Amino acid sequence: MKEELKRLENNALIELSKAKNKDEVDKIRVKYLGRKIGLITLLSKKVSKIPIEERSGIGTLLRNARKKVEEEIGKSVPEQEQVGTKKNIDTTTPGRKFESGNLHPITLVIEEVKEIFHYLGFSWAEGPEVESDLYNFQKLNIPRDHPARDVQQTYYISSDLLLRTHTSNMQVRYMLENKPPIRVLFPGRVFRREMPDATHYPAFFQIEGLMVGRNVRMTSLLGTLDYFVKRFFGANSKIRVYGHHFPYTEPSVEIEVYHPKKGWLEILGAGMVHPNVLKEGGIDPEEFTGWAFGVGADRLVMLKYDIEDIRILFDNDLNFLRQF
Amino acid sequence: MKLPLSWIKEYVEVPSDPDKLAEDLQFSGTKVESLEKESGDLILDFEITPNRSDCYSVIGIAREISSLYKKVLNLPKVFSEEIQTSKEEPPKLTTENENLCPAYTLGLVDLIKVSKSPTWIIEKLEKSGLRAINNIVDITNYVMLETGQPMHAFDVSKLKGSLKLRASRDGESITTLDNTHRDIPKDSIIIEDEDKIIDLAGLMGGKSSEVDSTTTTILLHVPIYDPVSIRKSSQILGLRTEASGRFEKKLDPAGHRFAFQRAVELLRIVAGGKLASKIMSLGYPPDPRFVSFPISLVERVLGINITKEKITEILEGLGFLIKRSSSDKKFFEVGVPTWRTDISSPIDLVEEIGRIYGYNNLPKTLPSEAVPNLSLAADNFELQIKRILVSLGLNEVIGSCLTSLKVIADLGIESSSCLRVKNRLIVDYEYLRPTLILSLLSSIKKNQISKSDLVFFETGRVFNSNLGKYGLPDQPKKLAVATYGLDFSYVRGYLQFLLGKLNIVGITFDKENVSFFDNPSVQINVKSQKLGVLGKINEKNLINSSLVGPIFAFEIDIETLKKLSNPIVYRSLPKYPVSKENISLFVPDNVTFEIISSIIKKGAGDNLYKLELLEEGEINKKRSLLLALEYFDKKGTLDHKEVAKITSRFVQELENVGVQIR
Repeated sequence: MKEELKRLENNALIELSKAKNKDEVDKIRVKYLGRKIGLITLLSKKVSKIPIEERSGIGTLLRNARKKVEEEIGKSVPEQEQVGTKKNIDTTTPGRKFESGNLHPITLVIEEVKEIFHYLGFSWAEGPEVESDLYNFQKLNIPRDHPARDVQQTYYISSDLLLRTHTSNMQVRYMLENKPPIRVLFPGRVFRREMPDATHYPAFFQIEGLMVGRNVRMTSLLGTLDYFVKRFFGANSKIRVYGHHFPYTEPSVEIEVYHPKKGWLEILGAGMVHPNVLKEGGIDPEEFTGWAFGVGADRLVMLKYDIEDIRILFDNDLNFLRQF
Repeated sequence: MKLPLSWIKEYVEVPSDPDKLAEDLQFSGTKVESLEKESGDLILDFEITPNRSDCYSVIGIAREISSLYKKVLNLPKVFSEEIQTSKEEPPKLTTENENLCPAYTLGLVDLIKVSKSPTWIIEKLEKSGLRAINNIVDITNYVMLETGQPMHAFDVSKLKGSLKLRASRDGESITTLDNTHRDIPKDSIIIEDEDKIIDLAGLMGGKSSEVDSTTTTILLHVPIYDPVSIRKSSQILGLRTEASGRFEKKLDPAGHRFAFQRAVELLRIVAGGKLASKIMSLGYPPDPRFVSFPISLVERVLGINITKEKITEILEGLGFLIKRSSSDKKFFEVGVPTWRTDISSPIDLVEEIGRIYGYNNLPKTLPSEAVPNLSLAADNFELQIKRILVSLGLNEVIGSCLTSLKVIADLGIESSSCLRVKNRLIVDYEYLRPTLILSLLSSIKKNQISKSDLVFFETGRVFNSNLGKYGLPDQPKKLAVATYGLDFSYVRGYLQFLLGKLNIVGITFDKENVSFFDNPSVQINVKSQKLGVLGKINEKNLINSSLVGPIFAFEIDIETLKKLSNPIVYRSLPKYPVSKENISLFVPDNVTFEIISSIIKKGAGDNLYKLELLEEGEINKKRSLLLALEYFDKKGTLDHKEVAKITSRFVQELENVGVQIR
């Protein structure tokens, strides 16, 4: 048996010395060391069948033979093919380059806002972008020829149809279809008739929030927005509030947000839903109160990622998209 | 609106720190856009919300300050009607339609000497952004800035007979003070004498009755016009003046009398003028207005309890009159000052209380009410499909909803079926996109130079003129994928991966002509419901759009996709090993993959575990397919005999349709 082992070992080493490539080395490995058919493996299985007195030392011999052949196999495989066994790795060499797919940063931010408000019990809904004058303006206390229309340069399709200028168009629509308590976000695209420049784009994204219930107060509007900015901009962020005017909220406020790096920023409009608007939504203002706010999603994206020019958001340059 | 701080200080004491003043004003709703030093003075630039017509004036701002700091408001000196009177009748002004000019004050002032204004007037006007002209015109502007009420002075010697105020008719024109001949839009407000139109009311006076160096007697007219008429004329003419900007808002219905008296006083001091007629007022004094105010509304809206004393102090400080009812302690009868034309209901008073109390003094709480039924994050179907596509390495783009006629025409889409805005600003933003493929193509174009292959997807609304939900134009949400530089198997693979993840089965394809796709493009159907379209952008449209192909794309309806999608149900893994077999086929041109796979599925039945395409090629001009098939059985391992039996169940059928098994 010992002679047999010696012969196998020698043969294996000779064959290995002649092997030209990895495939051949592999074949030799299987031939001698393979788990089922390897010649050395088979030999070691025979150990139990020889007389006990002859077994002494054979285990060691077997182990040594195996080790020697394995070592030789290791040597004969070209160095670059020894995955994970290379001794000197230059860790500064760049790794393999991977590319993933990416969501657009506006999607990322809208989803983040949805998630933050989800913790406060808010769901969300979408609505029409081509909207009637009625729901975009008139039902929000903005009759035709109202000066408040001046600040919302509007694209008209016909005298009654327009491209919504704000996501507030969803307030009355949603109230007509849902009874209080209401907690909902309306994210979506809005349009303004403006020339595109670094801070303006004719179509951009807004997120509206609406809460209606029996005990909805301005204190919870401010608390909710303060919670939101702390989640979005960081624990050091906070809000401060100014009186303002929107025809569809009374009282109306404008909210400045403290950005840890950029200071106070005016990015939110809000207020208590005007009783007339609640009535338009089929809700009794004697019984219920509500608040609403609106924020520019693009502004949030630009602040979050430090983007200066709004136009790059809609350019869809792959080098831009891949950064998120 | 720009005003010098020095002027404001004439009527109210202000804090020594102007930045603090600006901040306090802003917190209470009077926004100070900027504070700038100018020749020893500070110029405040205010952004006044359109509801606050009273704040477009020095006195209005001073009143806000007086209420913020609880300081006395000192109104300027006006002409006293008791001291100097005249029995002369002023020129008669008839008003055709009282809605156009519901209130005014007018009267004659004579013995005036027209000259340059004194420095104190010129300086204030110039710091406020107005040009000095002569003392008479300057005084009208001065009083407008001071009180918020615009007015106009006519040279009486240039007027003929009685005056009439009416709506303009078609084809009328006037040469205005700026020497511009203007066609007057129909239904503008004008004033005419017996000869001519003398005033484009509210916008600009007529040249023919201009005050000049020879003027000795003026007619001073201080009106309130219908805001909507003024706004419309101003918009049509593209003419906005300091006066029209104020007339567009609801002005103080008592302010015209005060402004007249103030102007006469200044004319007396500055130009030696003397009131030479009765003071004629229409719609004066206005009826007092009261709002019945339930005190509990403050807490119900703001969320804090403010004492009655504090409420009274705030409202009185703003000029409101509080009448406490002895019988009902829950209400205040609140008299609204004439200049607060924005206040008409209790909720408006809550805002007054809130902004002066200071919103930043309110506690911040989180909503405490019951939480309504919620759609959970898992219901976010659109995000779910976006994530599936991102997992395949696709990048999401967000393109423009508005596009140009050229882009639509380049793709051979009929523009008459598209929605378009009727007041475009530039041609690039005129038509609403009828398909997302438009914006995907522009994204490909943007990146094509630097990349050899691209895949983008977008979700969003597309628009057409058919009626949809709410009686509005149809604007369904779609999902589209487009590939550049990759063969058809990619776009088809993305589609089937997506449908697979949504557990949608039973997809079929039917020919459908889409203008920008090569013929034949296909309609994607699932269970006879149309899901979308799939195809290759044809060469001609690519060239028109300056694009390089090949570009494949599909667009599907998200609502339909959602309806068709099914929850994932676990399919138990085979207990016994599956048997694998590859078969290689020669396929005639008229036999589709769909035909082959349905024959195999039908034949192999429950034993089929997997059917996959390994390779597609052409050998001797014959289409050849290499399929990987996996079989299993619930009861045991299939041996080669049993596999042969399964295969035999479809081989004949395949041969019947002309497929050759290699």
